[in-house]
Amino acid sequence: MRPKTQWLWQAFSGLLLVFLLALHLTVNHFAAGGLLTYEDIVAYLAQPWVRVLETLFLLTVTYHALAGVRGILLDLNLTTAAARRVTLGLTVLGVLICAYGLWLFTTL
Amino acid sequence: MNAEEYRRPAPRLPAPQAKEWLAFSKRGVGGWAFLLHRLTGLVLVFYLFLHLAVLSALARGPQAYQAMLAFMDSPLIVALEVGLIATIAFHALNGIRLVLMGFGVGVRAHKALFWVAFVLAAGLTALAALAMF
Ligand code: HEM
Ligand code: HEM
Repeated sequence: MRPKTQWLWQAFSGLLLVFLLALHLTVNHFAAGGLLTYEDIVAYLAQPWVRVLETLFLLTVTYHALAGVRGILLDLNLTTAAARRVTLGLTVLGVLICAYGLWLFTTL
Repeated sequence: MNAEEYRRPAPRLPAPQAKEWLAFSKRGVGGWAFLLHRLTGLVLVFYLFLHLAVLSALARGPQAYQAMLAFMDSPLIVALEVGLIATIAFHALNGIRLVLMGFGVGVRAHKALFWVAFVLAAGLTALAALAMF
């Protein structure tokens, strides 16, 4: 991807996160006047559209976070080979994080 | 493309530039905004890992999760959460500012917009702190 395209995706995922993160914080922290109980969370995630939004949030935030870290590392004067290893490593990490997050949903 | 051209490494930043983002001298408002955005981004990445690790209690069932909540219910953790809200609020609002700049909107007011983002973030954090304590 060209740097300009990468920035556009960072900007787009960031703007999407404004809404998804605001929703996440409101529902999980402020709505019930504190942290949710286990039963609250199960009931919350039983709603299909909530699953969709929380899943979208997991994928978006993981992408935005790791793409951001990649950008910072690529600022460190890396060789082309090292930059490739960074991209590969962060991609694998991202897939693992998303797989773990999706698995966590299935346990509820 | 011949082989030599193919093997030529991509252009690299001159060495001093690579660490410039962490330097503390000769920084304007834009420079501080950049540093703060980067540091808040890294803090949020760290929090994301921690958060997902702590949530593994969900997979270990209701008892494990309630025990985790009991641990979280301390003034120190709530204070840290207020710090987290401040971090998110600044990164999000300054992020919106950066997107506007990227599309050439309000570029000439970029310093004023930084302070708008900063003050709004402080205000949101204060409101959240009131709601949480
Ligand atoms: C809440 C809404 C958010 C918005 C609007 C947002 C916006 C942005 C934007 C526009 C950039 C690119 C900055 C630039 O180079 O011009 C960025 C970078 C970054 N973001 Fe976010 N972001 C948000 C949430 C998050 C979250 C939740 C995380 C971490 C889990 C995160 C981590 C990062 C990192 C590590 C960078 C790279 C910083 C750098 O290159 O200096 N952001 N963000
Ligand atoms: C203090 C504020 C927060 C609280 C109380 C909170 C609470 C929770 C709870 C109870 C869950 C599990 C139920 C659900 O999926 O909705 C969850 C999941 C999640 N949270 Fe948060 N959260 C907070 C902040 C954040 C922030 C700042 C981020 C991003 C950097 C984040 C990212 C996530 C993700 C990605 C999941 C989905 C995990 C999975 O796949 O199961 N949370 N959070």
